[in-house]
Amino acid sequence: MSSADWIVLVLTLVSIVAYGVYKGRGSGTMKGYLLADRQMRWYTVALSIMATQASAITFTSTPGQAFVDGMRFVQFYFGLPIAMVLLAMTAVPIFHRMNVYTAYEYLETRFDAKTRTLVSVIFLISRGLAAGMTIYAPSIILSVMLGLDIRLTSTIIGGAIIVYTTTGGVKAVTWTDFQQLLIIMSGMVIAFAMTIFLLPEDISFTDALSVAGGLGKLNVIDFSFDLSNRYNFWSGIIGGAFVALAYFGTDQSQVQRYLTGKSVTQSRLGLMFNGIAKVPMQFFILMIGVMVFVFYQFTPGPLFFNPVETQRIKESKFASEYEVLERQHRDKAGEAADALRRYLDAQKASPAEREAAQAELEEHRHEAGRLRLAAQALISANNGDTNDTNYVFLSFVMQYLPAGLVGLIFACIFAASMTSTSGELSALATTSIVDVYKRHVKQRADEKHYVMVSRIAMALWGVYGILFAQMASGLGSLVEAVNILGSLFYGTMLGVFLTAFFLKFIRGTAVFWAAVMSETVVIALFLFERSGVLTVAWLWYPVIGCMVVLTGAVLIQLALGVRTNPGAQE
Amino acid sequence: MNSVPTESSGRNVRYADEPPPILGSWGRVYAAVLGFLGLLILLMLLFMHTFA
Repeated sequence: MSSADWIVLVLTLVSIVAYGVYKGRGSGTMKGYLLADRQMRWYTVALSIMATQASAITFTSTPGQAFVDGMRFVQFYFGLPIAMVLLAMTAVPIFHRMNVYTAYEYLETRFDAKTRTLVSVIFLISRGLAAGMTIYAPSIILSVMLGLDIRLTSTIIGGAIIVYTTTGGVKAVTWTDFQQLLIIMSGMVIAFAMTIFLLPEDISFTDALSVAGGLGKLNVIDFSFDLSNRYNFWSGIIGGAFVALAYFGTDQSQVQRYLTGKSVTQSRLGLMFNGIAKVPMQFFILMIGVMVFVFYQFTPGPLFFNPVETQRIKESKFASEYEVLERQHRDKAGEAADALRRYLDAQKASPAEREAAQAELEEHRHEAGRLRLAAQALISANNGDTNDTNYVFLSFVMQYLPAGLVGLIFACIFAASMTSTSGELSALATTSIVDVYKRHVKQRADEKHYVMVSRIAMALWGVYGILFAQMASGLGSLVEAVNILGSLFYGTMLGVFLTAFFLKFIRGTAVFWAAVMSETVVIALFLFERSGVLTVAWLWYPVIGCMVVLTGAVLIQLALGVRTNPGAQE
Repeated sequence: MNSVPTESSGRNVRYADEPPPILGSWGRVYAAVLGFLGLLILLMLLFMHTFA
């Protein structure tokens, strides 16, 4: 990177930390430190929700996913608006009315202490692992692309977050989320404009879309129903709705965002904005990946996008074989670009000419795929990571964007990493203190004490995240790893909350054992899938987990006997 | 726009269900969000059929 890029990157990071510390001042009470005094307006709530969900992985891996797999990943988000509406109708008024710090507090009022503790612990385990991964994922990518040690990149990300979260609490988190999302979206809009600007002069934006369509990258919607197919309309609208319901309704890192709303109305409007903006936003990010793909059809790109793995194989015994593949890749690039131009010309010609041009295009596509597979096979034989999805977009940024803009895009990636991680750390700290420490260790102490231990908890979770990032390796496709991890636990958590909201006759013991049963079933399914015994796409895990809790709780309650509970409040 | 506490007992504060600032009722706001999703899916289908 040039010195202009480094200046932009450093100034952006310093401004984020300074803004967080400034906005978070005066958080001296538990309500102030953990809930921003419940004074946030809907637009702050909305952008904080979106920023927490959109991690650095979203901005590095998603364009790469479109580059490799096309646009179909957008279907995963179709269920999200449905979930936003359901949560605005149910969870938001209940959580506000109960005046809770965490979603799990409500479970003790509705059921009992053991159910609250079980769900809190499930959250701490699943989100704790995910928080480590959200620091690790960008750290490894940034260390590869910037040539820095992963210990340095993870310490910069984690250290910056620790500074403003421990000093300013959730108020700092919410306001920096707001600021960071604006920076990120500006960076992504500029990157998108650059992908169009850098196309050859004779290729218009419409031509680029025709090329992407002809090469199968605009596969936005697939109505076929297949349980083993990860991304289709049905898995998106049903499975995606369950994942979103669980994530936004039971995961404290999101619940805490809308609990900061000044009123039920402000929180609901925040969720509604997310319901409207999320699908177009993901479509736009995937479209950047598609445009990068089109760009590389006319400009020869690398055969494999991870520079470290490429360097490793060039220094290995497979170097000569890899160089042959690279030469073939370069030679074919010019022919493929000519075939694409003929394909575009043929769009205005007779059907027979169109068919011939399409067949020629398919041939080149097949050849490009063959070369890439051969390169991946060599990298695999060299014990390397064959997944370069996370490096496609940043490789394009570093090679083709002008000085200053490269720094801005990297600042966006750092910022995105901070938004999601700071939300997770504040949620982990809040749950650790409210649901574990204050509930089981020290029930009576003054506000000052709880604020102090909350600050310590924030810092400790931050240090844990940094250490996890420095020790983790070989986690494969990062965007999927994070989502798969969540899907193992979300069904159970959602099932418990749905039981609490809608099945009034169910008591604590029944739902507790149903939750244990559900977690066992989902983990067994995951292990069966890993060993090849059974194939169920991970998007269905939350659906299955949730159903097991609901049916299990009803059956156990019927076996135990139904009786009314005058103490139950919701 | 702020919620008005209508009854307070201990930690539980009851809030009146305020109307949204637009469209008159929450039911209409929810319908608009879901309608927008339907419209987006239709537009994406159209987009896919135009270029794919």
